[in-house]
Amino acid sequence: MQKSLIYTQQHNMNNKEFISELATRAGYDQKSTQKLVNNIITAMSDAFVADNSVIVPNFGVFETKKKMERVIVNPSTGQRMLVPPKLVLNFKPNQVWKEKLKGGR
Amino acid sequence: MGKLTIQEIAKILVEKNKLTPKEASQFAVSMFELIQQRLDSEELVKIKGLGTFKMIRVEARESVSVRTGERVMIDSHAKITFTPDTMMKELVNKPFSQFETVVLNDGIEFEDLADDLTEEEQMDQDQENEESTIAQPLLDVVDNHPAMEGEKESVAEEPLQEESLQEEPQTEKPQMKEPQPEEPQPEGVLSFYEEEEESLSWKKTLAYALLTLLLMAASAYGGYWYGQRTANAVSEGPVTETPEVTAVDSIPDLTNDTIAIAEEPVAEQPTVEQPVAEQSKQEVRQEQKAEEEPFWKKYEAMDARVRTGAYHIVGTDHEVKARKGETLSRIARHELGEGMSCYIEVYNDLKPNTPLQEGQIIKIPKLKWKKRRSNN
Repeated sequence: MQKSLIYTQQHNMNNKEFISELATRAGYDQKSTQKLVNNIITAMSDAFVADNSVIVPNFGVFETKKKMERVIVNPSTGQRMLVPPKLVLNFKPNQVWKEKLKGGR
Repeated sequence: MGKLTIQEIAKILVEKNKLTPKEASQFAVSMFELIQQRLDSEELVKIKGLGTFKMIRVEARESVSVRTGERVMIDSHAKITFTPDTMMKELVNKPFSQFETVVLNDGIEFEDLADDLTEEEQMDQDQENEESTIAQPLLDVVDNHPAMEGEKESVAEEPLQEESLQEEPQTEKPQMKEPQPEEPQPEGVLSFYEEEEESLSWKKTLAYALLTLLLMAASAYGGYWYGQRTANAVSEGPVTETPEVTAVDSIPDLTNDTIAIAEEPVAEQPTVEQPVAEQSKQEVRQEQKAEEEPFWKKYEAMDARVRTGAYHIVGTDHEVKARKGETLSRIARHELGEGMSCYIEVYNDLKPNTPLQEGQIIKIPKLKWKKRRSNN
């Protein structure tokens, strides 16, 4: 019994579950909850496009970072490839949460 | 780089929906709160349009402290990872979306890339020292992208090859013309400046530079004594100062050079003894240049790399037959050295990376080291 508990698959919360859970918590119906979530995401992505970071208290920071172009070598073929520069979205949990994660176990 | 806070997000919610500001901010806060709670209970949270949050446990492991070199134990802990949605990823990367990962073919040395990037730059700097125009942009590129450090090696090989070829004309000529009494010429300053730059970049050339320096010093010394005996113009003033001034007066063709040089710090001491030898060298090369001019001009017009390179094509040296599977760049590397494929490409009128037929005859051009700035 214990063993099976340890090896149970991590539960994945997909978007649908997330919305319904959020809907019950916030007291809206699912449709408007999804709409509000979408609004938030749109606002966030607008910020990312404008190279702004999004700061959520007690949660963390979303920010865009530029990765430089670089040459990689495929070790098995020796083929060299030039990887272009790109912008990536990064998330950093805030310090309190990080500490909790570290000390919690 | 501005920032967007949860308050601003709430404001946007208020504008778009029939919500009070309080409701809106409460909703936004509870959304992130939910994510956090679910993550803490080791769940993976997927949000459409944003991405996936995941908690990963990291096992305890041993590591080495960077500062003290001691072995330290890193306790098991957990960390949060966030993988953006494909949509979000593409949106963020939109400014760079037109770039794709490119396979670098065998023949493409980094030099070619740098050439494309800096072509305009090179046009502007036509008056500049040719060696430095090539070397500097290359190094710039490398510097900008530390990840490409591996490239540096292959790039650096090219000048090394050049060095070995250069050795021939440089070491012989000063001795031939040694006893000529001459006025100090700017060439001395120039070539010393060049040499300094090379030796700065590549340690291996140091030995070569010393050798030539020694030879030049020896020949210059001889010429200097001769000049003193005949009470030449050299004795007019302190020898350290005169090179630029006299050169401008006596040889109008070289004013371009002298102006450019005058901008350089003339602090190098060896200049005192070099000028005489350099003058004679310059003369020898100028004679040769006059004969060759029409030949190499044609090739220089065809390719910027040849135009800005360190060599002139002066004729066919020999021909080789391409063997099976051989590429142009491989032949070039074998016959002329690293980074020299442009000369063969131009001389045979082939595009870079054209597939070769077995048995195809490739003409290997005879190259001559350019005398720098001689035809400005």
